[in-house]
Amino acid sequence: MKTFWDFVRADLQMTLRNKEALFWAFFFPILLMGLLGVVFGQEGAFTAKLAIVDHDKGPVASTMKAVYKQVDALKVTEVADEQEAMAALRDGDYAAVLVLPAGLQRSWKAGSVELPYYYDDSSPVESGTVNSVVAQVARSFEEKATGVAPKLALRAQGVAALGFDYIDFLMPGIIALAIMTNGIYGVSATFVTYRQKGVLRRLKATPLPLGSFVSANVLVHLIRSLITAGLVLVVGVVLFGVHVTGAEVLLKTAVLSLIGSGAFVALGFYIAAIARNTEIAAALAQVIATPMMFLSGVFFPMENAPAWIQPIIKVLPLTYLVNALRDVIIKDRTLWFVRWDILILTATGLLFLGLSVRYFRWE
Amino acid sequence: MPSLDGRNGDDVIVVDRLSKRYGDLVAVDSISFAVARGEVFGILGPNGAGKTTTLEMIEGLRAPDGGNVTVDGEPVWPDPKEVKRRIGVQLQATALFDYQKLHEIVFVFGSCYGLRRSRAECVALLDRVGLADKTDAYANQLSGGQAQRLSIALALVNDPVVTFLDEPTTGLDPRARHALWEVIREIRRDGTTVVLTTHYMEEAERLCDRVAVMDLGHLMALDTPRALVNDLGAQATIRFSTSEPLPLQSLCDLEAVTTCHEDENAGYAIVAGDAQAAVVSLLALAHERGLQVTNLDVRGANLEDVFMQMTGRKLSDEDDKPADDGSATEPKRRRFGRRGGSS
Repeated sequence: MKTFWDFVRADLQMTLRNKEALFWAFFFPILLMGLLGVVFGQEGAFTAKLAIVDHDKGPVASTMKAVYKQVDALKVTEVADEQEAMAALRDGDYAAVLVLPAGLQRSWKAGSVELPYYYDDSSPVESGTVNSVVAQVARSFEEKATGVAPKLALRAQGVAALGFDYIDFLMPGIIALAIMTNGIYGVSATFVTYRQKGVLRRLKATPLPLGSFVSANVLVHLIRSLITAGLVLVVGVVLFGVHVTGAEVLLKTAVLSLIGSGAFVALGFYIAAIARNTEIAAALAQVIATPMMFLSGVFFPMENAPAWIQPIIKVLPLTYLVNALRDVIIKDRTLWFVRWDILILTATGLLFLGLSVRYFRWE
Repeated sequence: MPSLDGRNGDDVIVVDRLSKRYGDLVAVDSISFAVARGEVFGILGPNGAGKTTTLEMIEGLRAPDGGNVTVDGEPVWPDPKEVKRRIGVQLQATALFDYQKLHEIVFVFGSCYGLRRSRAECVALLDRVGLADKTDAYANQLSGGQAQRLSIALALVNDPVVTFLDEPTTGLDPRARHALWEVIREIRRDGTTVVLTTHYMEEAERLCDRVAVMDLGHLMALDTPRALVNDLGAQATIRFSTSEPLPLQSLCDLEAVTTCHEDENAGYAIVAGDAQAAVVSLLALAHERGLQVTNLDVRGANLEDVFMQMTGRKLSDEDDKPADDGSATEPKRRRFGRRGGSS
């Protein structure tokens, strides 16, 4: 047991002394959050310009316009001429154009309303936000008109409902991303290097059970993930004014970070198990981590991603860590609420742990 | 002195018909020997002779396919844990943890044996291998020779009964090699048995009390370096250059010559049972052809010649440069060119 702690101490020491590792593990996530927060998170930076062309000018149209103008995330301009509005959309002056057609008043009463809506699909992030906000307002209108609550609610609605601030949305994603990177890249690189350099073989020549060396290393990776999560959380709240609700958020974040870290450490071990050298390990880590980085909703919501990509999103373990952290940190959900995410992450961890035990070679 | 069959009471290692095969390849073929307490025991052979595999089976790192081995009276297999506790191991080309200082690495390896070495003890151990001034350096800042010495220090961290050094000087420059020999002699003086593998003939000759010569998984001979050389008879190697090239066959036909080949440094090398007769007939040949013989060098037999005699192959890569490889003619013996090709 003492040997175990000696290795924990040595591993921590090595982490702290390796400036490059320190940068990537602890400062890069904060840097990334800061940069993206500054670029997208400023007041109005995530407000999109919406042009409304009102051909009807009836009371329903006026109410609609008034509601859209109240939405923080939108900057609404009324344009009289539809041609002019479309030209401006093509020029990139607007993110979207909503047309309230003549006869809206009549068709509203008849019960069927169709609003022509055009958006700029050359900027997916912005149009994604606009689309969801416009659709959401339209839906709330419908809800009022019909008195029927929509049966399906998208997760993005919750974020918007609490006051959409990009940095709030981003921070849990950054924590999840850092945990994934730490597990996948950190563990695979460490163990393939140890194997390649003969360290594992050398340790095998001592009476020490290698399990205690490996578990010390795993513990250090879990500690690293906890530190990163804590740092990002504290810096997010203190420096970037992230709105965190609920007092137990630190504890809940810690629990999710440990579970998520366990899953990705196991995945990292699996990479180390099947990769013959460091080059192959790095390539594999890249191949596995990159889709997760962009498709798991770390930087922007994936609800608006094309339907064919949704199944892919659903098999990426990072999706569940991102969702769970976001629910817990900014929506103050309980751990029980995210139990399915926790279950999926745990299962992922156990699966790759099993595969690693099966395929890992010491030399 | 221990006997070849290992029945002497003070043998620290007894290897009995140990075998290992990898698929069709028989890496170690039923070898037996014993190592006496307190000696420096060398296993000499070219790459692929089975030296490392033999060592790994004794160290408890690789399970043998057949035979037995005991270390300090303990059977190594099936559970090598107790033996691992009593031995020290230095493996070929081991790198260690980056960003750990030398004294910290020594500490952590001590910890692997359940020992908690004080800082002073760690420094003292580093001092034994001449690294006292490097205790606060990181392992990745060491030169090749220093890294080898660190890895020898780690092979001593548990005060082992035997320490195993696998090609400790391979890849080192001559100065670093000589410094390392001194370290190994020091270890022996402190009473630790040393088992080392090498493919350097000089290393085996100067460092080892006894040498086991291995080739292709077989034990070819086991004795003191002097006895091995003496068994060859009064063989001598004669090296020289000539002002104009000579056909090799004419050299092989000289009096008392057993082998002859082209030699990078001096043009030709011939091995002869009677050095005087060979030199006289060589000079006569030169005179007859009107040639000058220069750089004439006559040297007594060594382990290199022993190996050559036993296997028909050269031992070390060092004297085995491509320039002279494959160009030798050896009428009396089959030759297995390791690099292949002939001129």
